[in-house]
Amino acid sequence: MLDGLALVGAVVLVPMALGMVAWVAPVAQPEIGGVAQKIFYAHVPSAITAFLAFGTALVAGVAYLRTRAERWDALGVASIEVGMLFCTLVVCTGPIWAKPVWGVYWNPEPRLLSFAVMWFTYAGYLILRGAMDAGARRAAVGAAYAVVASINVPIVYLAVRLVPPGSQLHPVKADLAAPWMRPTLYAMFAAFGALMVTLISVRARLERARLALACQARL
Amino acid sequence: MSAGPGFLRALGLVLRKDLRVEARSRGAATTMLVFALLVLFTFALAMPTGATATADRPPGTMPPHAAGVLWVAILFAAVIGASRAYAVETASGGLDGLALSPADPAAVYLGKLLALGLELVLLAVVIVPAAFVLFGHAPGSELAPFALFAGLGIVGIAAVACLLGALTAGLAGRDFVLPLLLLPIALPQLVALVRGTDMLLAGRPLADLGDTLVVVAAFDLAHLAASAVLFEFVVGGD
Repeated sequence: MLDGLALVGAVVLVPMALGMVAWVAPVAQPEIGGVAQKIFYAHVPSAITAFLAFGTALVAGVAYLRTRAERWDALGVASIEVGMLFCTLVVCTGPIWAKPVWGVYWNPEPRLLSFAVMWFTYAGYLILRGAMDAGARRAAVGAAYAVVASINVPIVYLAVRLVPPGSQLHPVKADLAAPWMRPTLYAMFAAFGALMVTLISVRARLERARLALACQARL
Repeated sequence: MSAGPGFLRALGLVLRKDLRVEARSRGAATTMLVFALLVLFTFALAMPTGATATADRPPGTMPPHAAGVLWVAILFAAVIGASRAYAVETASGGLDGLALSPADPAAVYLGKLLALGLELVLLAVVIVPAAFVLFGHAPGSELAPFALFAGLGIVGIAAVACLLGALTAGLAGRDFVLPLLLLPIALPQLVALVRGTDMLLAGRPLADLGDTLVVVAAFDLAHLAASAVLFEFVVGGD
């Protein structure tokens, strides 16, 4: 039922939110990027969504290790794949936004760095999973790695603040003073959230089917 | 409860076994050492600054990236060490034996951790002076706090390496997958260690490290605890 709701939500919200970004949200001042500032409406929700997805993977990992029920393994791989999608989006939209605003694509500042580290960490999960045949060991190994990766996230958060800043360019609090900026952002949050739930549930269902087939093939 | 060996006894048994296997293997520990030295030397050649003092920096201080190179070398050595620690097990079915034994899995994990940690410490005892020579650092009283800090860092690296080694044990592509997993996970520790090393070797006291110490401590504790718990889930066979 949740996925049905999420699907409807996504179908409604995504076009609506994108429309708001395109036509309702005002073009920002040139200092913060002009038209390019609108990437912010994709960048920030992607970041939140990636965190949510990876958080789901942590829950799924712990749940699998406790119950050994296959559906948690399916949820784990689904959430990490979807999380990687949004994480990739963050790491790509960040530099695209950065160039017109700050003149450089890459600046070693905490947020971009932590997402880049997360990207590599969870890419490792997908590679690890790809290297193993379906089975209980693959699920257990994946779950354990997902737990280790998630535990690492707050430590990465602390550690990237140790890197000497090139210059603290990343806006800590985006200036959302202009009218319609906040509603547009919230609409994008909702749209991305619904999209995330939809994608994860579809992917998890696919994985459960795959696991069932693999199980049958071995019998 | 199981009638198996007590916690400390199991830990000691695994530790002694691992160290004994290391000692008896032919030039195995030296592989790690030579590789780490090679990494150091390669970077020293590849980087424009050398061991001699330049006008930009006072004599006796290392070039800016030297600490980073040192810890990358140690990290790569940890990859080799962890890979071999479990290669030995899978070759003779030892992993299944460990899984089936009545010993507490956490004790087995800590035994392996101590063995790898000891190897890395011994490695560091050779590598660090080599780095000092290659990059031109004149050691003084800052060695003691640096040694303590480095020891703390090595514990964390060994902790994740031991768990990830167990995760990838028996995989056909283990030699690729293990570094692929270990490097991102160890990145926060690496960042903290490099920054702390720079500060300590410049003569700052340990207390000045502040957040750097917090990161290392958090990394060590979080991963030690998590790995000790997770180990039993990853050594069992399919």
